[in-house]
Amino acid sequence: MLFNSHSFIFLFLPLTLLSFYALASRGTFRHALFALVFASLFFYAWWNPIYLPLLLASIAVNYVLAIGIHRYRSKSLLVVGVVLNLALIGYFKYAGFFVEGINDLTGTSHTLHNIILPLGISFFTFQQITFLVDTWTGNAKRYSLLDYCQFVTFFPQLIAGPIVHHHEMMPQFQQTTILDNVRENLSVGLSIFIIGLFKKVVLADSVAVFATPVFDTAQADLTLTIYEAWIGSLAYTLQLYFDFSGYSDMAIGLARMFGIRLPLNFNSPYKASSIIDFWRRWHMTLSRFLRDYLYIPLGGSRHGSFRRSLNVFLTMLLGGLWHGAGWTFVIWGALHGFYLLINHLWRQWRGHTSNAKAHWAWMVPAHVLTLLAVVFAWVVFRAESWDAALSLWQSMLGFNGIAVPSSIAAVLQPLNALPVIPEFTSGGLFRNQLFELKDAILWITGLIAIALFLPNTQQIMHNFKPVLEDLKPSSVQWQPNWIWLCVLSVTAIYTLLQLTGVSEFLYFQF
Amino acid sequence: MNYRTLKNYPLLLALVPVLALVCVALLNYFVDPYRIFSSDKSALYSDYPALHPNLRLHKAYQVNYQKPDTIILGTSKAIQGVPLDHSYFNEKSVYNLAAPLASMREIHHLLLHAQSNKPLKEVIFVIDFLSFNVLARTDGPAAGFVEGRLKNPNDTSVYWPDYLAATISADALKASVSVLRPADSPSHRVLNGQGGRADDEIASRLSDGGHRSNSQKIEAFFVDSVLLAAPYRRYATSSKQDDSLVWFERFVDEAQRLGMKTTLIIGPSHTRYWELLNQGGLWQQFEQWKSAMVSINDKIAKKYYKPELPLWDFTLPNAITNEVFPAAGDSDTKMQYYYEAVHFNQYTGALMLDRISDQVKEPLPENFGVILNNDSLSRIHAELRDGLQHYREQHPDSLDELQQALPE
Repeated sequence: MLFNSHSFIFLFLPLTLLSFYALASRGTFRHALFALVFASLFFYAWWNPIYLPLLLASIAVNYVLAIGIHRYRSKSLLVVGVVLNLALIGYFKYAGFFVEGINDLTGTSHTLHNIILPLGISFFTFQQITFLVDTWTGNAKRYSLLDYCQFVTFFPQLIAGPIVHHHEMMPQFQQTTILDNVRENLSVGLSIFIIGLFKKVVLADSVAVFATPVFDTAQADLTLTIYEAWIGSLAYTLQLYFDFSGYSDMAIGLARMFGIRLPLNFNSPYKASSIIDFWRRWHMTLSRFLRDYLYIPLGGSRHGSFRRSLNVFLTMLLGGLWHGAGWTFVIWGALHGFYLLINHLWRQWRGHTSNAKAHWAWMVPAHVLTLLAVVFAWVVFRAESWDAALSLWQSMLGFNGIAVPSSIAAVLQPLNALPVIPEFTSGGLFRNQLFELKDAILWITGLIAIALFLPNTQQIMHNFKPVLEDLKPSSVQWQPNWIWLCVLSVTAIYTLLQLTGVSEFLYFQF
Repeated sequence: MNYRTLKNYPLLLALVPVLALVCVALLNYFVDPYRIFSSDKSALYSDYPALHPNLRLHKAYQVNYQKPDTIILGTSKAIQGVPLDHSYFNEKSVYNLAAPLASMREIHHLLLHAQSNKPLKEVIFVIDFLSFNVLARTDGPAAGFVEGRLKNPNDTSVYWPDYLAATISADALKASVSVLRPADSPSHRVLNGQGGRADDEIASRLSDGGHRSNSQKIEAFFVDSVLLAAPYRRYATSSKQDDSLVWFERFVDEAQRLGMKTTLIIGPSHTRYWELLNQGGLWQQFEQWKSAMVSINDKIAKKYYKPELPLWDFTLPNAITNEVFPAAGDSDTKMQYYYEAVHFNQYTGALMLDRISDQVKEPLPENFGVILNNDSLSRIHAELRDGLQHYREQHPDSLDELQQALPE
């Protein structure tokens, strides 16, 4: 069940809210929590009931291990827990990848039966590892089974994050003052949910139609023109941001409807002025997890600049692998690791000049370069194979020629003799006919403007503390008044009418 | 600027969109712009602009309601060229289930869908070379094929996304408005209650430059979007993901296994269209395609110890398929047999039905409709090749026009 499905919006969510508040209003907050856990498990089972026992078993084993670690201060139990969790995710997510790697290396042809990846396994597994580690280090208290279940299964963040930390969630599950702010929580939560739904359904899904055919064409071993490649890459850059941040907004809004604040996950990442800045704004809860549970345990920056660089690179490499079991994700992680190393070296060389003091003549190129580096890396993240990514990169860089209108091609013809300049070819600027050019330009330009110049959801909702972190507020602030009611009602109606549609065709002749 | 805080903000924000959606759903349900909530065999949907662009959706549900015992399958040639009022269909409950640019995969699923509603007695399948190109585009006129909505013997469940799309969607709302305000809608194609179209309505669309001009437009479209479609610019019956001949084999197998009367017809497009294939470098594949169908038909017949399905070939050159095209710009002269080179009209379609039912009412060229099988295959290949050679010699002007339709 997706957040942007009719069944979720019109059945699951209203029923869950009603049962939660009905129980809470009778003064039985623990019963309300129990109903919420039950609803979350139902939400998970809706996708594939077969994996519900897996989730329950994972919770049970980790909870028992946490009690053991807490009671006996046993490192062995911690090791067992971490190994079990890694084995679980290793089997379901990475087994095929490793078998394929072994086959490639040894020339064997081992096969693995088709393993379906359980939804959200990357999220609930790593959340529980952090809990075990923190229990062992003494940074986690002992919680009731109900609270622990709620921490792991809370449906707004179960499938696609944000990756939550027990110390920020557990205290909220124990509050009994949930009914004090019901109206505000529902107002804020519903408003954020509508904005997130709009970002996902209207913005992300609309721009996706310009990205998908480009990547499919590259996968089919066909050559793209430089313009097609850039449009496809930019479209995917925007699709991914509006999709993922829209989903995160929906999660934040849903949680708030139940009186729970989630951590911020996106803070206008394409406004970043450097790659370091980008990773402080993009999938922030993952960055936090990687920093606290990978980078710092690896040694962080405590053993000199070489070790720090190595740790950064390894962290990003594994961060890439976290996103998916494939070499393209590893390469994407490595590319960002490489970017970060360059960024750190640049800062060392230039000194720690703060962004606030930087001159616009520095900042504009910095923003542009950062965004280009990010776009370039998203290509390998989205591509289904290394060959497809390489082909797209080649087209983007002009190695497959730069198509220009016939009239200009004749003028540029002499330049083709020069070895360093890409070859100019005549006509066929969009020869693969992958999209309507005018629509693509309008959508991409519009969404870039939104991503770069408009405040994000959390900044607009700042006065009502939508997330755990504090952000700089925007000049426009949401209020539960008539104006916002009209704006968001129209947004909701428009978005809900776009949830589904018919594939109408235009027939040229008859 | 501070406005008064609304006490009932969350309630209103939840209720206003829901009420609006309920209103939209009720409107769409009662207007039913795609006609999926009711059926009328004798209807002529002249006030339903969104019907033809969504005919795949419409037809799937009409078959559910009408439960025909006879269906027509194929592409736009079958929609436009087969006259449903022909005596061939007397005493039969017929529905034209053809869809523009339908792939062989889609056609197979349509057969299962109709069969799942009611066991079929007869199927007429107007086979199209383009249905076998697995590299053809799936957008444009081919858009709208949703496998999940079509039933099969193992799955006859309700496909809810269609009901949601036809009630609470912006597309359906727009379509309903076009029904309520037909004057604001541009001229549209009109389907009848049995999934076909009226001959005179199609002919009325040929006023812009006449038959030759329309031929040039549709030839360019067919080459660019179907036969040699971007981005591949190739024709292939199989790829890593799909094999259209496998779908054809399943189709023939299903028909033979169930013992339904099935007639396979390669329709009577104009010789000019076959020459277009030749000019596009597709002639060898065209002959291989025919050979493959003959071979499959033979194989399945042997498997079930039954006669082969009748595979009629109407491609041979004769007085009908060589009908002279009016000069370019002549929008007054009306052709007797064709709308343009690709699509034969319903008069020709009636002659085709006369031939396959052995009820010829007027003298027809002897080679207008011949049975294609292992015995006749080579002779038919040779006769068509000779016919094309003759056509090229007689119509050099057409060759220039055909060349213009081909991609660079």
